[in-house]
Amino acid sequence: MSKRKIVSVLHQLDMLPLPAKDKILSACPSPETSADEARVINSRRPRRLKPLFAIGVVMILLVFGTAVYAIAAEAKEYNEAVTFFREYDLAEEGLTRSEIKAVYRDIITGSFRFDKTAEVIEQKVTKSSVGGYEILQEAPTPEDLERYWEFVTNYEKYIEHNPLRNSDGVIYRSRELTVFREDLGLEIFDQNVFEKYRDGALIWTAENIEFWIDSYVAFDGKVIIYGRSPTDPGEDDDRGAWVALIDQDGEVLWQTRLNNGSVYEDIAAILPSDEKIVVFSKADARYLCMSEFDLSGKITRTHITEIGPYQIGNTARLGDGYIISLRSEDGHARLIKVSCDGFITDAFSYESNDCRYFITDMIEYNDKIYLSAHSVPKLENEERDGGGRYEIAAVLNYIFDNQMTDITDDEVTRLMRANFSAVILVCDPISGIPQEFYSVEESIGGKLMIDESNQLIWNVESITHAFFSPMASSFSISSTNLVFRYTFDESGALLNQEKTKEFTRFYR
Amino acid sequence: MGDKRINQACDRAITDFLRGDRDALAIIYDLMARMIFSVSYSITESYQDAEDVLQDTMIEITKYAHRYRSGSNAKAWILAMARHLSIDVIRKRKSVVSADDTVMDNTPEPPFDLSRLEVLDMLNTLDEEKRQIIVLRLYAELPYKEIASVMGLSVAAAQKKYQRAIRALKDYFRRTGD
Repeated sequence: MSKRKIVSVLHQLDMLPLPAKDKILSACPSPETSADEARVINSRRPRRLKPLFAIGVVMILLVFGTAVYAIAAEAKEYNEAVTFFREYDLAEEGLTRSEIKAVYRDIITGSFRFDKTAEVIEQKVTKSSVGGYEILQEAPTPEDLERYWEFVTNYEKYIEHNPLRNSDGVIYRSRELTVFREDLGLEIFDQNVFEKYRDGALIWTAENIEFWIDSYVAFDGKVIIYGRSPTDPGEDDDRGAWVALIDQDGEVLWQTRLNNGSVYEDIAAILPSDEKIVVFSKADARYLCMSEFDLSGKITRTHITEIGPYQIGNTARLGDGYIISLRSEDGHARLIKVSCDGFITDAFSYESNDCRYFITDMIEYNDKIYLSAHSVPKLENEERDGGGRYEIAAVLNYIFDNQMTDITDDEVTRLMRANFSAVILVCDPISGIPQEFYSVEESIGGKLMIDESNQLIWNVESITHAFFSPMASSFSISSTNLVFRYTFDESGALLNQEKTKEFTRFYR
Repeated sequence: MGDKRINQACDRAITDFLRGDRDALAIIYDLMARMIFSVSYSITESYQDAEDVLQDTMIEITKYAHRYRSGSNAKAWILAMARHLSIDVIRKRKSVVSADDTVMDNTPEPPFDLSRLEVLDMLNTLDEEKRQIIVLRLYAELPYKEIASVMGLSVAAAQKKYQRAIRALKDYFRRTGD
């Protein structure tokens, strides 16, 4: 049975004869006059009592000659701010008079003070809804469960020990070389090297890298590696972020520590292009830093913005600027638009009345930004958020409320599947606002990729088996998920659905 | 006619009506009567009630045209009214039945043998809410955003309910061997 069949049956409704048009229309009253319309439109004009009141206050103060100039200026700015808020339908609730002015200043000057301004702008966007299409996905079959048990039994084979591996026969590996110190009688650290292998054969080794390598980005035959200062555990009061460019022959062209005045900094994302390398980092647990280098390693631009406790998630280009997903401590996703010079120009969070969205991946494709995410129902009591694990809080609350710490895996799987929906959001290239989305029930949003045919691939992880682990310190619920792969064309139309034999794991 | 063009044409017709053009109402009828009637019929399951709802919806359009915000989704605005009126009909019908269980069935016969239509069997397998979502989504082709607005739901809730309705129909077709 396909949707087409349902549509075709529904269109039998078109066979019902309609009542006579004249009969229906004759019962309708005549149109109202345009004057009436004008009256209605006038009545809908926003009231401007507050600005008038403020102006009145300023006039009185002028008459009495007290602090004339400063107060008038303050009131003028406040009035302008209020007018601006109303014009752009921004929410004033919860903001003090000075905060309204501060947000207004932030927006018109572009010097974005994130904590309040983002919230105000975000509220505006949150009101807009997201349209969408659903994708029906097959529930796990007995064969899938069989494959799951094989996966679990042979789990070691599936584990990826080296995170610096890619899929087309090329492997990048970082190693720490040591030397034997005779006076100490032990091996000590000498240097970090970064190696490229193809089909198991060493291609090149980049030597004398001055930092510990966390990850890499390959582009145009070159590789950007990044990581942190080689400090010992415990010396976390000085942990700088480092970046280096290696050419196609393995020569380190340059390496440098980011200079954002921080003592503790981590690189979150690197976006290379033909002309520049843009690095986004989080400094001193409070600041979003953008550092732009030319290909010779010369720093060409930096910008620092306070973002508070948010973690930097995925990053992608958006027109001339960038879009970055931020994650709060409870995993709540927020997106920010950043201009090419590093200023935050917009902030969005995707929420509906009954769902929260958690972004897992982001990619630019055909001049649009696609976001992979999953949604979970909003909690009735937001304070019971599973100790900051909002995504599984509803499941945990159910287990604890019903004293079901011996809950079966089948029951946990059922609860998890009911809790999650995978979604793909497609953002407008200019505004960043989502235009449409596809969703898949009982799944988690996975990786986004572009294949060799320039088609967009979206991995959706169907929750196949989950278990509750009250004694584990690092997670409470783990699930193993079967990967479905969806292919979209350049217009965003769904082309294909493939059920793979791959599994992923999810821990919270 | 495409959804966008229907919206644009209805939008223009509502504006023209407000300016005093009575013919604009005929345009709205031509564009929307079929959809209003079918949506109402799928909710009320009565040819006569659907006819009344069509009549009342046209009257409501004239009554509330000044409240319509030009540029918004005219189709959804009109269908929201049709839906409310249809639900009112059902509510009234229930209250009449509870007040007097011996209601005379004096409804005029529809000019068509409705029993031939499979769509009725199909829709009857769904509860009222699911039926509305299926018709609004697959027949009226409203986006989720508009369905959510018409039915007073969140977009996510509209989606989930739609998906459940699709599953129910899948079961129905499986049972009927289609």
